[in-house]
Amino acid sequence: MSTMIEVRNLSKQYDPKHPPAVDNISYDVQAGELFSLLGPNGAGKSTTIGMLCGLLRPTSGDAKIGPYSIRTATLAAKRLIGIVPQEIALYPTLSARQNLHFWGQMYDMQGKALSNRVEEVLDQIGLRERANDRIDTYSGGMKRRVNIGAGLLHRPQVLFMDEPTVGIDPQSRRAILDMTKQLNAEGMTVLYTTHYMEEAQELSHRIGIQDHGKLIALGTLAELTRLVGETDTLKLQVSELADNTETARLDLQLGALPGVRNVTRQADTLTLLIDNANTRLAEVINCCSAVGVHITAIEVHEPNLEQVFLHLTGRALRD
Amino acid sequence: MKKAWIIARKDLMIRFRDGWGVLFLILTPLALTTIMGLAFGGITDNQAELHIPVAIVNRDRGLQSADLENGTAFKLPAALLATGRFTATTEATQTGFPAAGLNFGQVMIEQVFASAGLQTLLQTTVVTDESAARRAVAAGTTYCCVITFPPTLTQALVMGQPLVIPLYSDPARATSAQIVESVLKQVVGQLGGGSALFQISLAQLASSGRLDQIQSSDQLTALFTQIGNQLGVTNTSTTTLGANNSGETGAFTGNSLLQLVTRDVTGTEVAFNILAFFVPAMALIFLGFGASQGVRSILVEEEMGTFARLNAGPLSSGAILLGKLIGVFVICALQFGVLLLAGRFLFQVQWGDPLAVALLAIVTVLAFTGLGLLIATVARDQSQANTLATTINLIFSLVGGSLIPMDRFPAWLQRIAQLTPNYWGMAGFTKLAIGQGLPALTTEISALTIISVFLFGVGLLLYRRRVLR
Repeated sequence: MSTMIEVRNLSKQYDPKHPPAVDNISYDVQAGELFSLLGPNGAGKSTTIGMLCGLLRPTSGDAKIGPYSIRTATLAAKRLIGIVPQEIALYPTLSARQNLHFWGQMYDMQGKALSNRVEEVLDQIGLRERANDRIDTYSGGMKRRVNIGAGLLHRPQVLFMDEPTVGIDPQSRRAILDMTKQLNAEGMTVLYTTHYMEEAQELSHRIGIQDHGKLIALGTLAELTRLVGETDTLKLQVSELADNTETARLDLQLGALPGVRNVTRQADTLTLLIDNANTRLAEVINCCSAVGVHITAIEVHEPNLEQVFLHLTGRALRD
Repeated sequence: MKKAWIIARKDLMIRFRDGWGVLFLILTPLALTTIMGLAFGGITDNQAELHIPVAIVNRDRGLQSADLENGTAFKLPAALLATGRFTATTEATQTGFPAAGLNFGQVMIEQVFASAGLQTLLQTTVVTDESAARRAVAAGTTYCCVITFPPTLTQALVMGQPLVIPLYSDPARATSAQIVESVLKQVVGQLGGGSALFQISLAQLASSGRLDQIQSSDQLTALFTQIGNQLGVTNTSTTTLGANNSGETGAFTGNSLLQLVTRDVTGTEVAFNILAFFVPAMALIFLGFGASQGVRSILVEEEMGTFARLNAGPLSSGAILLGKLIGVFVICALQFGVLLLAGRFLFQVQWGDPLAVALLAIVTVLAFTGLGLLIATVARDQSQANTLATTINLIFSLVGGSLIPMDRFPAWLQRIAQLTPNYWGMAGFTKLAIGQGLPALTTEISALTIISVFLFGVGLLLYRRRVLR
């Protein structure tokens, strides 16, 4: 397999007074690979995509799309890529067909070839019947599909998808994930950013975890979960605690239990990183009872990306 | 370049789908100009018929025999007296010009304000009770203004002395008051000019020695009558004011005053139409808003994400900007053109030479497009651009003479106004409306071109910085 995206020591600092948005990251994405960048909001994923698309000038480092440097052969690199931005980057008062036609023209397509391709893409995104309706009359999911369609028109070798499922219903989300897998199966290299670990797990050949601008882990799902070892995630939904002293006492006692590696709290949910959770459940319940905390629900999760992130950063992915 | 055209075509399509946008751009200024047209004398006549109600109080006591006999009240110009051949009470001055009984206040009422030309603008009523007339103005009834001719009007004009004519007006009817003031300024200006000419003529006669050749009072009477005739001023009973009726702008004829008789480039006599002020004024105001709104679509696209998507495509940021600017230019040119055509065909404004109109319109639209670009590149977001565009356009319209005629401003403000495209646009279209052609527009077209180059230059630098973050 050849390398389709080559990122080398890429950094972006908007303001010298603040830490860099992207901090010296390097990785390769192979042709035909579906590569996900996973990280919370503000991790620098969109800035990375922005630089790879030629929208942002790197502060240092370089990247190549195919053989073309994004610094020195920007236009040639841009010809190889398609982009599906996080926003619905379409003209709301034009129809889906007019939008696709326009974006096709921006990629030097014209005439019958363009018209045929527009119809193909409309079929692909399942919107042929409503192709002449204005975009502003579409549902959120339909807009997202046209948004993806506009990135596919010119049959790019690399497709950048920046959080394409944000704010849509589960059905549309499912359709987009399936479409992404289908495109990749057809040979398209996809760089997919998300803060939903389920999406990264389901879609990706390899995953890069980005946080505070740094690439903190990179590998297949199996490689990444091995970083956590046999540690499970135990989620306890508890009754409201009386005060901060009581909360601190509970955290301390849970943290002192054998096998517990980390304790975090979000509202009434306690998350414990714990070795062999099933064998230690009784001790955890007793500990809660001892401080007068009533447990209303218990969930045990085997190692996943959420845990990997927690393991690497000490924070939950959605913090 | 091809992609720039595609972007421009897309923008035009989007713009014309926005019914309210088109309404704002073209129909609103058209409607406002129509209202102005109707308010200021209809939309079918060449000449505005305003019939502004004006009260005139004539306190001018004219030139009395006593003035002529009394050397302290009326002295012949120093040049004449300096010859030593005449005294202040010479008989000749009583029968020639100036003559006893001359009353310029009366002349103005009977000959000037009653002229057919002025009657379409002003509806004058001679009153004697000045206080009552002023009360009517203050109450907003009967009269818009009161003009009071002071007792020394004639004497001051004949002697070239300083003169103050009080004009009492209703501030709520500022435009009408301005028009009356403008009329009055022209009348007094012409009379003052005649007076000055009289003084100069005498001085020149004296210095040339012709006065020395006069041996009798008959000869002196004849000489004064000749001067008076040349100046267009004869004896009181048949006084008409007219001079230099060459057709140049501002020439004062016996028949009309505010109808600034002029000639267009083809030599045809044309009349100034007050809508020639309102049409470009409205067009320029809305051009400012239209261009700002148009270029602001860059910010709209930035917020929608389409701008980033365009920039991620295989086209230069310059091509994107060019496409956006072509779209804005076409829309603004269309808007401006429709308003100028409406001025021509609905309001009978004579713009004259089509080439001159086209060139002036193009550089004007370019300058405003540049202004829009600058605003869009300076502003952080749409909301800031809206505020900035509204503020700048209102200030430019005000200072540039689109809302208030420039001559109302102090000299320093008029100099500042020259930095605005509104100023040069108004100046250019006013010149066209009074019949001047392309050669007379060199300054305006050059100034607008310089402003365009400056605004585009700065705008492009800021745009580049904005795109290449």
